Amino acid sequence: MASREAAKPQLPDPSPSRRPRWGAALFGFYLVLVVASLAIAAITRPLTDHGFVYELGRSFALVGLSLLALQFVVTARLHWSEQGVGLDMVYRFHRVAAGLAAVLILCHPMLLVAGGARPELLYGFGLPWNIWLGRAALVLLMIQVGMSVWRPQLHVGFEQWRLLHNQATLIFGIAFAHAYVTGDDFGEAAMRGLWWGMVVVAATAYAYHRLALPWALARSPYRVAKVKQETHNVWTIEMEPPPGRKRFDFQPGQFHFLHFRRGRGLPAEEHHFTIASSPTHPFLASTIKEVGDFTATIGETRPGDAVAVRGPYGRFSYTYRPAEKDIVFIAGGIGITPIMSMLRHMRDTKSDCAALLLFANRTEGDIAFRRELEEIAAGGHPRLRVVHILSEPGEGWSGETGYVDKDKLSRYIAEGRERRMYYVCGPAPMMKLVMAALGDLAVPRDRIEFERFVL
Amino acid sequence: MRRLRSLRIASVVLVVVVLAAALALAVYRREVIEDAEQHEHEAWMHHHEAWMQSEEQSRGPTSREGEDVGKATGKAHGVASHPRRAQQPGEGERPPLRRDEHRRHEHHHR
Repeated sequence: MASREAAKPQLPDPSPSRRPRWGAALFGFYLVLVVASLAIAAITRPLTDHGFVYELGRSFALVGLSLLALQFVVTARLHWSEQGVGLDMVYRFHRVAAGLAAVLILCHPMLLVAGGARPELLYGFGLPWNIWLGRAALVLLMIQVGMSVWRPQLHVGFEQWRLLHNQATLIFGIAFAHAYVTGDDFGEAAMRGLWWGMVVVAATAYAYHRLALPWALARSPYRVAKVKQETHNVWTIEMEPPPGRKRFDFQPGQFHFLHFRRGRGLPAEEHHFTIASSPTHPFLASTIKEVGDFTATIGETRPGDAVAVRGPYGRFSYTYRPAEKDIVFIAGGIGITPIMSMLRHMRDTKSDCAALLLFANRTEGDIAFRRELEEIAAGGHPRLRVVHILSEPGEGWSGETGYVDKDKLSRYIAEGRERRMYYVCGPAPMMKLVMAALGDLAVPRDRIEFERFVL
Repeated sequence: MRRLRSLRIASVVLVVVVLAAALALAVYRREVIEDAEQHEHEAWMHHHEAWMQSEEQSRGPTSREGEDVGKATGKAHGVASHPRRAQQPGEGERPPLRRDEHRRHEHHHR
């Protein structure tokens, strides 16, 4: 381990000042593409035989289809597209765009009928095949959106949902065929050119994301070097890059996607996990808690197992704010992993930051990295103070009990709250409580960074 | 939290831009057809007026040229002062809006 930790730090330049502008520029370009078909329609076919409502229905279909096409690019996990805001926000934006597209496309046939089309369009059976294509796309899209919004209530597992979510390509294909055959606007060469261009871009992004890159990663996988049990249900998996290759650069606190191929009948699925190791190490490590069907088998991982690793992603890192020297970390349970990566990086780079860690767990046995945290605090880099908080303390526990609430935050951060930087990661209920408490304590919102595990 | 705020702003901007663009196209296209109808109506009125004038001319002048023609067509005095000409084939019927006239309207709107 000593030789590993002595390796030269490899950190890409986060360039925080440029990234927001890059994100804004990308978003502007995205908006242009979303409304491009409407602009072409206005130029090439300004005259119509229909009224306002009918034309609104047509416009909704065009822009809804544009939103669907661009979803393939938005969700392709392209590094240049997530650098400004982080992949978690990109995925949340994807959900907003999907919801908007679904509403627009649902309104499309209704507005056509309200604008003068025959009502049979909505319920008739003796309609041409191209209308049936549109209907099929609409029904599948509604199922897709419903499954995504109400997945927990429908008790659909993540992997089953993900398989169903792949029908997005089918939905878009059917919807595009319907529009291409049915839509008057597609009679114009400019419109056809725009749409074939968008189809090619969408197909390329999808092929890269779902086929080419996974294939390439599977051909040269990382190998599990070490499996270490941290607590009764938490495991650390260390992975080494393929021979002759360096691991990718990352910022402490970022995450990656791991696709384990372990054989032995164990599930081979892709999931995202925080990189718990520091960029100063030549290997990658993720610390994983047994919480689901897949992670329940994580302890059965063995050295030598193959792992396709894709990353890094995310913006949850203190390195994006290098000027901040007074930091408060608030972690709940396995939410310690990105913070552990940052603390290890601070230790290895001899950081002079002052750091307070409020670490909440259920029981004493759930505390991960307890000894290592003590060692970092004793080392003086960073100037770290660790406060453990247990919601179900056993006998003999003399530390803090309960939850990370306003009272504890005000006691441990007695002064200078508004000038500190806060990094929060943990279960959703804890995050909600902490965010509210920080708000009550008048901590400016732009001084809080948080990380959710769910993309 | 800055990222979350950016996401919220982006989401609102997306919804507003999309709805505004869709509404704008629908309004624009309706305006175009209304405008085209107006042009068509004006063209028909022009031809009708010319036809009425030529009809009056074929009956012969009554008193002072211009005044009675103006009364017959219900137009102002200035209309009757237009030079007379023989009726052309097709005049007096509602003229169809030609394709090239559509094109002119399109250019006008651009």
